[in-house]
Amino acid sequence: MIPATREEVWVALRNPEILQECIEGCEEMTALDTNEYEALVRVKLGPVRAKFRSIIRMLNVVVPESYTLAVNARGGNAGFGIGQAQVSLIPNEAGTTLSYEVTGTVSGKLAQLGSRLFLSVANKMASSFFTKFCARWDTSQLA
Amino acid sequence: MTTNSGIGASVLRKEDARFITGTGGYTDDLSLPGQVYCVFVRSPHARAIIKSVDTSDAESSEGVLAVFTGEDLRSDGIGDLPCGWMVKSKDGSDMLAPSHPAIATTHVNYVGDIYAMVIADTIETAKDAAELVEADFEILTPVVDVASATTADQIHENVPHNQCYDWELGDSAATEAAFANATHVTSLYIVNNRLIPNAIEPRAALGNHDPASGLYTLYTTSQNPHLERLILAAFVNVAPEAKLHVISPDVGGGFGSKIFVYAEETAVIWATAKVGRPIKWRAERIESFQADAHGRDHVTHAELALSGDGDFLGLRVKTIANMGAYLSTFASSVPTYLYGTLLSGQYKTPAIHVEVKSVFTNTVPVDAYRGAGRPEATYVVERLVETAARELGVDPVEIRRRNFIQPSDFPYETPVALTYDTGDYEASLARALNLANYSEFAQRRNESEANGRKRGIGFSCYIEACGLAPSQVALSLGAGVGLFESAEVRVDVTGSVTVMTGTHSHGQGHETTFAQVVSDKLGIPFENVTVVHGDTSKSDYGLGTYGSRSLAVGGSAIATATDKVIVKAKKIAAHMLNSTEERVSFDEGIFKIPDSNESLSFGEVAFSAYVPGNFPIEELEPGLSEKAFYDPANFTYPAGTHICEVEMDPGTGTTKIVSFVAVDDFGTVINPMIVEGQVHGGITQGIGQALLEHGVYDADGQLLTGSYMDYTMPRADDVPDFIVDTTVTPCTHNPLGAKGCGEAGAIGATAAVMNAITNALEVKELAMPATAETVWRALTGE
Repeated sequence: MIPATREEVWVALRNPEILQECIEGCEEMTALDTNEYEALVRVKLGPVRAKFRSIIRMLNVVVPESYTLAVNARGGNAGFGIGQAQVSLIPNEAGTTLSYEVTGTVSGKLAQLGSRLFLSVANKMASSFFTKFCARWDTSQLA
Repeated sequence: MTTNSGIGASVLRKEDARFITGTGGYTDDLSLPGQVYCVFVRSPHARAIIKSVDTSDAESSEGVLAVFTGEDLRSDGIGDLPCGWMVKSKDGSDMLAPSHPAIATTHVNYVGDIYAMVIADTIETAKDAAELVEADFEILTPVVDVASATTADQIHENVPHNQCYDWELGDSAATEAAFANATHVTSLYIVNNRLIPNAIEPRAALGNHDPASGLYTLYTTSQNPHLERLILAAFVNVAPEAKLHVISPDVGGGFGSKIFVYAEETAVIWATAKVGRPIKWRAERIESFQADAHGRDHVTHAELALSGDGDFLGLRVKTIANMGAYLSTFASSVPTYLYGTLLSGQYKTPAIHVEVKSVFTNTVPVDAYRGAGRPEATYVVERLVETAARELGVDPVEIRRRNFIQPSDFPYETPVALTYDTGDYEASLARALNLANYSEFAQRRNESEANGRKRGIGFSCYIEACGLAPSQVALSLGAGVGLFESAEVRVDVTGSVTVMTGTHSHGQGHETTFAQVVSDKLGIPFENVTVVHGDTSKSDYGLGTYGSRSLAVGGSAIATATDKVIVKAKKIAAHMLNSTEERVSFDEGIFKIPDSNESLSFGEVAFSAYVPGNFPIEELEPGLSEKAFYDPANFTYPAGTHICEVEMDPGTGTTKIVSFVAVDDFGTVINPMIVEGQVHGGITQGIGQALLEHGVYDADGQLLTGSYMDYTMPRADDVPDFIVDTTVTPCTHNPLGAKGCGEAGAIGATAAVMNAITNALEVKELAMPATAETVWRALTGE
């Protein structure tokens, strides 16, 4: 639940600075295009630590209702991650409800050591993102 | 001679003092001045096109000496890694071998396939720089499933249907006729699970190039350094053979996985001249999982035709064998000449026909692993025989006895191309039944049932072909190298002896066993014999250690060279005793002539050989050093009976091996303690396959069992105290009468365990590994 209109949430979700601030381990975030970002993110997956150079694309964009976040993350020698998050914004009296669902696969060393951990780590990262994202809103927009 | 250190004595191992005090010298223990380090950049994808590799960021990192890609090797004339055994398909066509570059150039074909190497002044710098190598891949759908590989996407452009060969052995028509006349047919669908070798010491390489002499020196974890040298020189084109020196120092276990010539040492030895520094590489355990050749991985449909009385009439086997992404050094021979040829087992099955299709998949290459083809064959035969006995309501012991090849039948020519020279299968079975107390099994089962447990017993009467191999036979079947062995027995001036062998010891205890042979024959103290192995500059060309060949072939070469030493020493003794060679006898280290109390010790004769005061030099050369190249006349055929008894908890599905008896006929045994150790290790690996181990890929070709978190190795508490014994029918065609013991445990045990488990569960088939979950599901039907 975010105490803001759906349009306000939508705009914030596409601001690279806000994204960088809310993604755990995110060291850089650049908008390459309207629906494309490049990010550098450090992730720990079980025993593997890797720095991912990720291309994030927003697909199936329905302004300001929903989109699919497609993440293509290259972790160098650690392997490769492909993730998707289906994000939808639903307006209600108090503001906007943000819901998401995460799927994905990993390859290389990440899969070898961490495939069983991957979805839980991906979910944890998503949950941390949206928690920070919502928290940010509470202070800057409503205070 | 009987001593406490000669043939037949359980001498403590010479090599153990350094192993257990941490003073062994393994490849990674060695360092050279100016040494730098290498890290390989490996594909995270099971199958992809390499569109580009950008090494610029990695190359410009501080501390990085060089970054090489496959193009660098190719443009420098470095060839593909070859497969050393040409197998032909049914239609006479050659097997199809895809290009196998050490570093991939156009495609990566399994997760772990190398596409770049980074060389830097420290291992950490090399690892960091490896992260900066950027490859652009076009990901393709991988082929993972063995059974459907021939109808999947084509991996290699020159290999239609991903099929390496479609091979057969035996008489198809006679086998069809046998099935037409059968009263009963037992059939099984068998998956021989993929195994990952896991030697304690990971693979490693340390390369050096001396620009002054042009000599390359490669220290590496190889089971056969001479073969490594031959392949790198003659096929891969690293350097002329004479300019390549390969040393395998202490090696911590091989199990087959260190026979092969791998990409890593190839790239290391090539690159050492390019950067002008010694280069070291050592696999991390995770690399061992994703880059050491895996083992087994067959899917088989097998049928046994029987008469109503339980006589075996015919055996029909159709197998699909996984080769992985490329052909490893001996991959093609494993599911053919080391598998199909063993399907007669210990039995007089009159007609056998086997068809094997080998296929490529986007997985790590598959090659020999302890037993190599023979465990797979034993599993097929012994699971079928046990199942047939159950279906016919015959005792599994009696059905075997009924069909055994009898001692009077030897030499016995099987329908699958081998001639067994000797054996006594009833003797090892009878001894094993006694040790397992089979007659009281029913009572033990009742007791288990009263306690709410399931109990089962299973047999495995295995045979294997060892002592690889008669060169003439191997070469006629497509082997690329002869399979003899060399030895040099060099008597020192003071009478001590240095033995050079072309075999390699990586846990087997050759330094002890071979010293016992020489000490016994020369009648000199065991401590006076030193065995040297693993160095291409010290011993003549030899073929190394695999296929339980070292004693039967390498030991026979040593025995032959020692006999030549005795012949020469007798000539010297005759001269010293003013007698003739024919009159000199040699026994227990003493030279004598009849009707005389004059005698000479071996040491006195040796000294005289090198201080040849008044030798008739036209007839007698100074010195006492002899060589032998021994090429066996036939394979050797170790055989025996393993009996496994299990007890299961139906609530959890947990299997406990309550008893394991192994009675093996290895021919003459030199050191019973070492043999027992080999049997223990082999059985444990066989139990590992049956209960615990499984190499699993997901549908994307990602290795899911890539660490000890997911790949279960057998541990001490997974195995019982083994009851081990031997029976002896000496090999008829080698000077020691020895057959080989290195693989028997792994060959026989797996079928015995699974026969016991299926007996306890009263099910026909059960997939390996029989984990608690698998057993519990079989019991509950869930």
